[in-house]
Amino acid sequence: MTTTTWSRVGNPVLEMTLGLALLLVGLFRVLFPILGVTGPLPAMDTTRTVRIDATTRVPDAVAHGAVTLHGTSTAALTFAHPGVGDRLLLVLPALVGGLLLLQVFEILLRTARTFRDGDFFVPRNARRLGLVAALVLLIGVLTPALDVITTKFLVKGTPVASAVQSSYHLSMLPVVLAILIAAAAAAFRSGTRLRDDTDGLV
Amino acid sequence: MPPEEPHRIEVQLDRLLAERDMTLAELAERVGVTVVNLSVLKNDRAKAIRFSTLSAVCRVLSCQPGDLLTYSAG
Repeated sequence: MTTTTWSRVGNPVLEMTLGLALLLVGLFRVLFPILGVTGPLPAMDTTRTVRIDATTRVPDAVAHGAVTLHGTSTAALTFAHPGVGDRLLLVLPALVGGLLLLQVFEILLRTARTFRDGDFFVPRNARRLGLVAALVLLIGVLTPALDVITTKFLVKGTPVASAVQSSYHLSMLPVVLAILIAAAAAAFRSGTRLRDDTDGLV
Repeated sequence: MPPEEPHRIEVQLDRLLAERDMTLAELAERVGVTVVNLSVLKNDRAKAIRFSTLSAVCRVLSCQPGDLLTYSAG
């Protein structure tokens, strides 16, 4: 296999970048939030942005024609002294998202390691990319769902419960990203088949 | 893809090179194919051969494809 500038420089840089991303996500999205819930560290997040029912209509004098401005649809739900349960509910969506992201970077790092010997069009890498697509899709679907569920539990029994809306909003960016990665996985599978066809061709 | 059946094609490159007193490296240079690829062909590890490679080998060795590739019935 010919050694290119990319394989000499690009591959180690890619592996280091993914390793660094893995470390940062592991620390800031998983470990520190867990320590914030269990006690050794102060709670990282005591506030949750929520949607509220109150809708303000701009006075007619200010509005132009039939155009109206709807405001105050979001609010910050803040806990002055959250207990362990509240702290867990507050970080759970981000924590689950962080764990999924950690898994994504770990798989990408394992995939990048196969670039060392230039042997990346292998069935295992196609499966890995498919798994990454599924994980990214989960980030887009599961995290907002957890946000809705945990918000319901957080406000349950409090005076603000009736004012807080619990509507599910899909995160479109991860969903679109998952579709793109799934397409890349399909291209990888085709590449694997092509490589199989040309393997042993002289 | 269906599992590949073992083939019965034998490559006579060793004999042809010996008859012409030519080394594999020399042939590789004159054909324009890497020694590694020709070695794969010589040692019966090739699964397929390009017509362009076959033509070049036949041109350099002054032989026919049938001299290079033979079918072993059993």
